[in-house]
Amino acid sequence: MSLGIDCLPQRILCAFALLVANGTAHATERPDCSRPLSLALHEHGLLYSRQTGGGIDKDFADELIRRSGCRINVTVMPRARIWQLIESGGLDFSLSGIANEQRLLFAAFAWYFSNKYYLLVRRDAGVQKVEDFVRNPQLRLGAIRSFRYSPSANRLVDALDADLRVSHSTGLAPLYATLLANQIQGMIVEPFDYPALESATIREQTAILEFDDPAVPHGLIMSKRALPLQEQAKWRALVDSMRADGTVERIFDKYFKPELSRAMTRF
Amino acid sequence: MLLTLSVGLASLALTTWLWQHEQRSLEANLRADFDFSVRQTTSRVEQRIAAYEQILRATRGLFDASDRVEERDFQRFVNTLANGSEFAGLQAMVFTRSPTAVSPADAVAALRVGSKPDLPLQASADLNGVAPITYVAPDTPINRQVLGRNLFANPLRRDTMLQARDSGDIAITPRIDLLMDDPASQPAFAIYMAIYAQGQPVDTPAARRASLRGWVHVAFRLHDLMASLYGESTPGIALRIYDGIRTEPDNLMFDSHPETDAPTPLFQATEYISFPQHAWTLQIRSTAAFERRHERDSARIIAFAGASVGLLLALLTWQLATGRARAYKHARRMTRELRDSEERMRHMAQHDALTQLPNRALFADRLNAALALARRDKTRASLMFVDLDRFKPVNDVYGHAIGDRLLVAAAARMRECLRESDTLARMGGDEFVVLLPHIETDHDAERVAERIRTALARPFLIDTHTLLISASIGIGIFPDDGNDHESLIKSADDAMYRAKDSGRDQLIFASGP
Repeated sequence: MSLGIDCLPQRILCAFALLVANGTAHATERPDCSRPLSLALHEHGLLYSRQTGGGIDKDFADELIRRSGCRINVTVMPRARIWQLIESGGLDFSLSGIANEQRLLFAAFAWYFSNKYYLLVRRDAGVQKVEDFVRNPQLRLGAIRSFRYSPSANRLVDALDADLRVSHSTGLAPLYATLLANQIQGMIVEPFDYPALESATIREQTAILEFDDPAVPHGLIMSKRALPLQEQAKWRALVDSMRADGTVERIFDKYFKPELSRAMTRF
Repeated sequence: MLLTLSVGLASLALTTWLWQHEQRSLEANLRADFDFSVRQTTSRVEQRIAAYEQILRATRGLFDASDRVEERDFQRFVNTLANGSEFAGLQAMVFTRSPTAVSPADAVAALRVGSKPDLPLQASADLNGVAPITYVAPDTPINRQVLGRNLFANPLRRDTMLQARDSGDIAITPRIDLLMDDPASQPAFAIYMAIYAQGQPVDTPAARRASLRGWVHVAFRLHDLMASLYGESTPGIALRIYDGIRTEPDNLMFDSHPETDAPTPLFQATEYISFPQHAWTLQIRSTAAFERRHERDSARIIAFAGASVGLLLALLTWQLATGRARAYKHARRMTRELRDSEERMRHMAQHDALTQLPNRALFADRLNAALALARRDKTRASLMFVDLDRFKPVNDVYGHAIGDRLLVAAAARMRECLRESDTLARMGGDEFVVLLPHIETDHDAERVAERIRTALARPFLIDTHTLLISASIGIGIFPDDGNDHESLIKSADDAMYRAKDSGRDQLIFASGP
């Protein structure tokens, strides 16, 4: 075998090199398009809006379809339903997903951006720090069912949920409305929610608190049940190539200021 | 006692801990079950809406597949779709042509619906802003009535239709009245989806607006939708659905348990189902049936059994801890009883049962001891035989009971005449003996004997009877009248008989005449 690597002295390194070479070989191949694939979007701020029919995820999906040459049926559904279908293998892909231990059992990821999470609270709730929110039993949090966040935000949501202090929603829009109606006093937001946060009514009535967590990587969600390992590697390579040639950053530039899109896509 | 208390308290603490643990576990199970019910309830409503979306997409497929879909094609297609029980709640599938494709005649007809046919249209009537219903299926008399109705006349419908047109996706109206229903009957909704011209770009809202061909929509009553949900509803879960995010009575569209309104349900959750520009609020409450379904007696059993076992343990500990002390106490009581019993037996063996005076056996012992002492000390002692005179007639006349009481009274009088160191014994019948273990002279014995004779000569009052008796006393002196007990007794006994023979009521010395 001629790989241009001297294999004799360090067999372990050699084996690793072979593995990498093998992975690269898969990655350079085009994904298997012999059947129509499925990708689900969920409505969430700048990621996708049913109102406009566009968003970051929509653009990303279009580029994925273009590069792969595959036929991918794109649908819109609640996030909780998406995770159920990814787990059962009824859906091949979704976008902007974050991993946790449980999700890694049934989903693989190809990262293409990262972002931080923030707690949006009503100014009249008397919350100066994230901990204040937990301490006041009168305060309720709104959350999208099945959503996960950064570790500190997850802890907050789980603690409040255990106290029956979380109202769940299938989408983001009712949460803003209930926050303004003071039916909930806080919700967790991320940069995709900035346009909503910039509306005058929300800006006047709310404050943003930062969680003390690093940015959490988001990526293409692939159903392990629907896609074999080799196919996952090919799709991951495709996403990597979109990052490498600046396509991902260009998509984000359409929606964010350049410095923010750079911070989100170069991690 | 401290140990018992400690064991009791430890058992109680363990029971309390177990009880609390069981309570917590029950509550956690209840909570998990309620959470599951909430997710299931929300998910079933969502899936039903998704099913309506699917048939709208299928209908859009029909229009995408053909440039010209005739009413007959539409009817056949919808009839095939509606054959499935899945769409039992579906009232009508409606196709409405884009306002730009409506002929002026149809637009005028649509604007005239509901007004008198001969009245002229208002000058401001906008023939381009009219969206009359083109096809409606299934073809029923009620559904046919809505053909030609202008959907844009209702601002809620109009906004939703324009939203569906711009997004290319479904759009759901807020609460409306169905076209075929009486106003303000049951809460109803319509879901719209736009249909675009074949081969035209639809990637932007502007492009979608330009290539609009029309809309398909389904209308349904919420009660029909809820009735057609898959599977049984979760027992013990009450569901209310509100239009919008405010849970006010005016917004209430569906209530699974209208008659029950528990003020404080154990669990209550609020969930929002999000539609574009619109939301439903699902208020989900646990009812008493939910709590009953999960009712288990384990916590109560643990509390009761734990308290009982704790009590028993404490009792057992008390038994063990105090066993030795209680055994000692018991043994002491038994020993005392045994000793008393022995004492009684000994007394009975040595005393006369009637007068409690020493009997013949005890007297013999005392006599021997007294004589031995006197012999050693070379002192004198006296032995007297006292026989009651005229006792037998008392017995015969008044009976044995009176006779016995007389004997007791006589014994008491005799005892009073003696020193403590002297012995009075009953030998049997009316015969007594007196031992004076130490006398200086014979006169000492005579004085005592005389005192006895005098005492017994006084009348006795027994019940109401005055009884008169006397005593014949024979006195023997040691060592003069006998050097041992036998000879002394014999001497005294003889003397007593002599006294009797000499006329009774007198005393005679053995050595006397």
